[in-house]
Amino acid sequence: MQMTDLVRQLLIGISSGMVTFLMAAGVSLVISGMNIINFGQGAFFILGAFLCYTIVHIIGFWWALLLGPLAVAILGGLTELLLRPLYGKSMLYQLLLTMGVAFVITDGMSLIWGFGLRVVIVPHLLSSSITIVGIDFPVYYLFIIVISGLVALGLRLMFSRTKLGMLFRAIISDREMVGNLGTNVQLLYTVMFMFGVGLSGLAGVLMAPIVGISVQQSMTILFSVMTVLIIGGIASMSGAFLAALVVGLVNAFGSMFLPWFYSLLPAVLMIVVLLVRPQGLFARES
Amino acid sequence: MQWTYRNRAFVGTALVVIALVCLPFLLPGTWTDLLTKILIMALFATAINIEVGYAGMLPLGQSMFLGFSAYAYTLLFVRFAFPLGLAVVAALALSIVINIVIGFLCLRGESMTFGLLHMGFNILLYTVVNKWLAIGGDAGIAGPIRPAFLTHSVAFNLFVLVVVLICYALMRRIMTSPFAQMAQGLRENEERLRFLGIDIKRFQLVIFTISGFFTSIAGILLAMLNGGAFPAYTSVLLSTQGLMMCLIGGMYTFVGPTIGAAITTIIVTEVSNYTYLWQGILGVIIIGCVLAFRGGILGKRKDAARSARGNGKALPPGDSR
Repeated sequence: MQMTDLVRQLLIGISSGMVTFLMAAGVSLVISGMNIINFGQGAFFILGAFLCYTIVHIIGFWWALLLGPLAVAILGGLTELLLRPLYGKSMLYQLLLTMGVAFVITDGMSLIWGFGLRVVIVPHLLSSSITIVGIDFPVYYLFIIVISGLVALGLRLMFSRTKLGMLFRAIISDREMVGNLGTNVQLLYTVMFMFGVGLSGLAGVLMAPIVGISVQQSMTILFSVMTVLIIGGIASMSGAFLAALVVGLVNAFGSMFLPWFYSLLPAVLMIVVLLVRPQGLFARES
Repeated sequence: MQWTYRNRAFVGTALVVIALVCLPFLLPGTWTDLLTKILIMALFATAINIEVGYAGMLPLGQSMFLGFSAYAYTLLFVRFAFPLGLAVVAALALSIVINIVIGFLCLRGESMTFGLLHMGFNILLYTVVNKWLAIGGDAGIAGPIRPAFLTHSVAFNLFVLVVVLICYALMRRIMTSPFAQMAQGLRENEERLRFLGIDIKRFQLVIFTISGFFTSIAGILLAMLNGGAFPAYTSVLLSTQGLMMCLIGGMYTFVGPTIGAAITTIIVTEVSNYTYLWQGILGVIIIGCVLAFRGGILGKRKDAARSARGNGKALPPGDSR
């Protein structure tokens, strides 16, 4: 019994860490590539979760996994169009714009889905659990770990192997030169933003069946992502990956042993990291 | 006497003050409370603007100081039965200490990290306040919090008016001093200031503390107005609203945030009586403001080129965009 609990917490920790990483990767991409903190990211996460809820009812979970992130990414693309006049101006304007968009999306969602908690039902295949050496493994958590692991791997390969990844890296290190070489930087920004937001949408879709979704959570979610980013180092994706796993595990085991204050543990960790290594725990010194 | 700009500004200020003194006697009771709330929010927004408009920093979580001082004051006054003056002084002192500590932590990174951390601490406080049952949990602490001579809403309104005006005078004095011109230098060109041998971090910490101090005063007034301290005071939403007030009114002017505060507070308080979608309405206004007139309502009167250019401070060092 005790063992099963521990394994279950371990699975919860890893899977929520992986999902947080998906979001953190999106935020980090947008921050390091475009110099924008996207406050809408939490709202886009919730939107992904709500879309999952609706699409599951209409055509099933597998389609939700595909269409949810896509729809969120398209909305992200539209947001980027609004951001265009603001490049090169104070960061505050971009912040406020993404906040404004987040507000509109949040209220739009409460208009459509209401304020109540929604629960998504997953296909039977995923809601069961497998028993190995007497310990129950809930399949859905394993599924999340596999899917996010694949996406993380895909991201890494995309960054190192493909033309798009190369352009992303180029724009992070020197955007002016990329423009001078004849690449359409505007379009690339749109793609980058859609990518970052789409990752949030995917994270939302994946988390929807586990947690009850409600409109008010978007800021909390944004905060957990920010914590991960600061612990791992804002511009470092591999740092974000490790930090997300650490935070996920700390949360999962913290909720077991310190049920009252466990949600503060990542924040405390963040403050300690800031005192000791302000550039991030896993980031190289610049 | 010459009819100079300075004279005009003085007469204008005097007229506005006289109007504000008369208003609570003419308005019905609930409107007086709204007016009081606007005054408090105006103080809050102007305090934020010291950081945003003058020094070009990004305080994304300013409501934590508002909430902190509100809680400190309420706890001292209601739970520990401190006398009024002592409770106010102690709450302010505590706020300043917390302010300096958080400011020190936030300023350890670049300008982007500053903003993120600022918000991080805000959410941290929000979580603590919501979960900690000893200080009321999500219900907050309510109590008979106003001293006897301020229980009437008109009396309280005038009291708030006096406090806010004193704070304005102080802030105005600070912001026209050579010190504040250095703050503007910080906004326009941080690197050049560094060449002059100025310790930027320490300077930003001073600005941060001044802004936090006036925010704390607003927090105590807010606690007095609503009869207690509640978790909503520390929410990120309120911090965001503060930034929006600066934007809507015009953050490169001193009076701008006050006008923004009036507009935003009226929207938040009155529109929420009719529809729960006030947040979306605020969002639309913000998007419109950011896209159409970035200088805010008062921005056009100031140097248009400066407000349109924004500030160079937001770009990380080495970025030559």
